[in-house]
Amino acid sequence: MSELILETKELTKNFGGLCAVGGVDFMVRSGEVVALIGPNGAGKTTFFNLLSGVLPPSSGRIYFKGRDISGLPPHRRCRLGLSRTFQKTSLFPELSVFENLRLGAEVGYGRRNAFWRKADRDPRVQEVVEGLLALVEFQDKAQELTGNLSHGDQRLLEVLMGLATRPDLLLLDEPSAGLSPAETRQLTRQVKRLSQESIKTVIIVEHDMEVVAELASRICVLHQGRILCTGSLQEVKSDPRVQEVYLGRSA
Amino acid sequence: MIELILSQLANGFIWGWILALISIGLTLIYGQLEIVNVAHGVLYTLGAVVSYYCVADFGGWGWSLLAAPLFLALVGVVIYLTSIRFSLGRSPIVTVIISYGLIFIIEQVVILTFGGNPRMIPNPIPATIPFFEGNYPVFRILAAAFSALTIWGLLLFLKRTRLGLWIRATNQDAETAENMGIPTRRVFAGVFCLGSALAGLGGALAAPIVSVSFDMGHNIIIEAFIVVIMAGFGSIRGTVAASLIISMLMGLAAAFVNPVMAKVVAMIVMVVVLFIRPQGIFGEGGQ
Amino acid sequence: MRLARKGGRWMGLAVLAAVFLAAPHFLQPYWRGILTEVLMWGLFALGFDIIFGKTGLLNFGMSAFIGMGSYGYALAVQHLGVGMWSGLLAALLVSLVFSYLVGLLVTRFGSHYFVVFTIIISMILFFLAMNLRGLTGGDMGIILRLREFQLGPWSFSLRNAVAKYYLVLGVVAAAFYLVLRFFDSPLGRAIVAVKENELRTEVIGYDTKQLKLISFTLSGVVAGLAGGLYPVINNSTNAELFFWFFSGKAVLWTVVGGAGTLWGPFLGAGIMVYLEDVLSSWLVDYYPIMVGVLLIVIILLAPKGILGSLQQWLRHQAGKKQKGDRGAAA
Repeated sequence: MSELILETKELTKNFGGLCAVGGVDFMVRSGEVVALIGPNGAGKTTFFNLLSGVLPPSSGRIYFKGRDISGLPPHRRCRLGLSRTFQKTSLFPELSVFENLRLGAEVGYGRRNAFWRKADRDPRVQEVVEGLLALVEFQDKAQELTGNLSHGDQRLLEVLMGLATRPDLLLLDEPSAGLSPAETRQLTRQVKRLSQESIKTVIIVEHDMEVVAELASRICVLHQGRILCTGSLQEVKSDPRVQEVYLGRSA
Repeated sequence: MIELILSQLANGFIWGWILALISIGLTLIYGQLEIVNVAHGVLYTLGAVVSYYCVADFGGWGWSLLAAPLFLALVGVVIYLTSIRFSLGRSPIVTVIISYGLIFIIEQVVILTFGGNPRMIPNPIPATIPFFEGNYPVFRILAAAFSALTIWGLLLFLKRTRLGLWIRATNQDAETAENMGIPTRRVFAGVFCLGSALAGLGGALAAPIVSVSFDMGHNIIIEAFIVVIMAGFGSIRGTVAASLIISMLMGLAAAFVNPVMAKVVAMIVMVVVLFIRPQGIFGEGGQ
Repeated sequence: MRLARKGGRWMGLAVLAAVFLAAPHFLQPYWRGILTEVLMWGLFALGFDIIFGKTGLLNFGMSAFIGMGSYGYALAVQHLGVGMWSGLLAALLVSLVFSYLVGLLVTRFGSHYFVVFTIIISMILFFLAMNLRGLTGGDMGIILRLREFQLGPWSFSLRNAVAKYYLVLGVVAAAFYLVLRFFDSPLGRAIVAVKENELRTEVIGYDTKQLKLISFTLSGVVAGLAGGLYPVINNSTNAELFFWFFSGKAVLWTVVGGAGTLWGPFLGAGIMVYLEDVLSSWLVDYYPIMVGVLLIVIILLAPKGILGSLQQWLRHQAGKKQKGDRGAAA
C-alpha cells in the first residue's frame, strides 16, 4: 500500500447559510491520478480552494504527507509540495513564458529570496525551465508574453506552472476548460506523459469524461458538497446514485 | 473640568452628525463605484466656499442649504462625465489617480477665486441656550439636526423610491441590474453626484462653525476616511454610528491633548478595530 | 543580434554617463543647480516607482519618507554634530525603521485600504511636523551649520556647487544601480509578480505579504535617502516637505516618465522640473491645475507614461518583425 499523500477529515466550508463542502473525508495515495467529477456547483473548485489554502475551512482538517496543513497559507503549502492550477487561467500576462516558469522553478529549485544576483543566472533554474519548455515544445515561444498566447497554449502553460515548483501533489482544476476537442486531446496526451514522468500524484477536476477515462486511476463523484461515491470509472458509471444525479432529474 | 469634558463631548456629538453626512457621501461612492474618492475633501471645501458666497453676495447663509448641494451635484456630473466614467472598467488605481489629480485642480481654483486666507462666516443664528454653567450655540444644534434630517430623508429615498431601488440593486450586483433593465451607467453618475452633493452640504453646514479656508478639506478627509473604514463600507446607519463615536472620541481627546494628537488617537483606535475586525464594526464581508 | 543589442546598451549607458559627468562644465550655474535638484527629486520619484510601478500599490504618503529622511539628516548633523556621510546614514536608518513599521501596518490590508492609510499617515505626520516647532522648526525649518564634507583625504565645501553636484550624482547613481540590480534578482522579480497576479504568486510559493513589506521598506529607504540629500543641497530643511503635495509630485513624475520602468521617474522629474522652471512666472498660479490635468490626461490616455509607451511600442515593432520574418521564411 503506497503512502498516503493527502487526507481530509470532515472538511467543511460554509458560506453563510450555504454549505459548499460538507464533511468530506478524502484520501489520495502516492501514485494515483484521481478525478473529481460532479455537476456544476458540486463544490469541486471550493474543495480545491480549501486544499490549496486559498480559502480557510469552516471546520475539519487537511493532512499533507502526514502533516496538518489546515492553517497554513497557500505559499507554505506550495513549498511543502502541493501545487495547483486554475480553471480560469491565472498566469502573469505581461511577463514572458520563460519568466512565468522561472518564477515557479525558483521556488522549487532555486533561491527565491536572493536579491544580490541576477535571476537569469542560476544554471539549475535555467535548466529546469528549458526542460519544462521542451516537454511541450514551447522553446520558440519562450520570450512571448503569456497574454499573447492562444487559449490552448495558455492552458498548457497553466499545467506547466503547476509543475515548475517541483510538487509532490498537483491539483489540476479543469485543465481542458475552453479548449477545442483537438486541443483537449493534445492536452490530455501531455498531462498523461507529465504525470508519468515528472510527478506521480494528481487530483484532477474535470467535466470531460474522455479526459477522465484517459487519465484517472480512480474517480470520485462530488455532489452538493459531499462525496457520493468513489471507485473505478466502471464502478462509478454503474452506481445508481451517480446515474440519478447526472441523468435523473436534469435529463 | 467636567464641564470641559461635557462640552467637548457635546461638540463631538454635534460635529459627528455633520461628519456623518460627508462620510455617507464617501461610502456611497465607494460602495457603488468602488472608487476611493480622495477628492471628497475638496468637494466639502467647495460647499463651504459656496456658502461663503451665499452670505457675501446672495443675502444669507440659508440659501447655501440649497445652493451648495445643487452646485456640487453639478460639479459631480462634470467630473463624472469628463473623467471618472472613462476609468470605470479599469484598474482602481486609475480612478484614484484621477481623483487625486482633481484635488490639485479644484483646490487651486479655490485659491485663485476665494483666496488663500481663511475667512469667517458670521453665525447665522446668534442665539444660545443654557448648557450647564455656560451657553451652547443654537446654530450648531440646528445644523446637526438638519444633517440628521437629511440622512433620514436619504434613507427613506433609498428605501421607498424607484431611483433608490435602482441604486440598491446596482450596488448589490451591477451586472444583474443591467440585465433587468436598470440604466446602471446613469445610476453610477447619479450616485457620484449624490455623494458630492452630500459633501457640499456638509461643507455648507460646517462653514459657520469652522470658518472657510482652501485647505479645510485635508482635515475632513482624514476624519471621513477614519469613520468609513471603522464603520466598514456599506452601511449608512453604521457610518452614522461610527461618525458619532469617532467624533466624540476626538472631542474628548482634544480636551487633554491638542487636536492633531486627537486625530492620532482616533487613527490608533481605527487600527486596533481593524485588527480585531477587518471588515469594520458594521461592515459586511471582507475588504 | 543579441550581442549587437547588448553592445548598443553599453554604448547608451556610456554616453549617458559622459553627459552627466561633463554637465557641470558646460551648464550655467543656474541650470547646474536645477540638475542637481532633479537628480534628488528623481531619486524620490524612484522610491514611489518601487512601490507603485513595480509592486502595484498606490502609496500617497511618499512625503512622509522624504520628510523623515531630511529630518533624520538635519537632526543628526545639527544636534549630534556628525558629518555629511553620517547624516546620510542617519537618514537611511530613520527611513528604514519608519517605513518598516508603517509597512507592517499597511501591507496587511488590501489595495483600497492601503491608499487611504498612506494618505492618513502622511497627513498626520504633516500636522505633527508643523506643530512640533521645537523639534522641526515648523515651516521655518532648520538651517544647518555644516559647511563641508570629506571624501577620502579631501575636503569639499558644501557651498561648492560643482562638488555638490558630483556628490549627489554619485549617491543617486549608486542607489539607482542597486535598485536596478535588485529588480533583476529573484526577489525583485517576485515583487513584480505580485503586481502582475497576486493570487498566482502566492500559490506558487511566495509570501506575498512579506514581499509587499520588503518593497514598501525599500521604497521608503530610497525616498528617505533622497530626503537626506535635500538638506545637503539646500543647507536647510523644513516641515513643508511633509506636505502631501510632494507626494503628488512623485506620483506625477513617475506617471509621466513611465511607471515601472525605474528610469521613468528621473525622466519625468527632469521634464516637469524643467517645465516648471521655464514657465514659472505665469505658471505659479496655474501649476497645480496643470499637474492635476496632466495626471488625469496621462493616466487615461497614456497610462504607461513616456518610457513605458515607448517600451510597449518597441516590443510591438519587434513582435511584428518576428512575425514578418516567420512569414518570409515560410
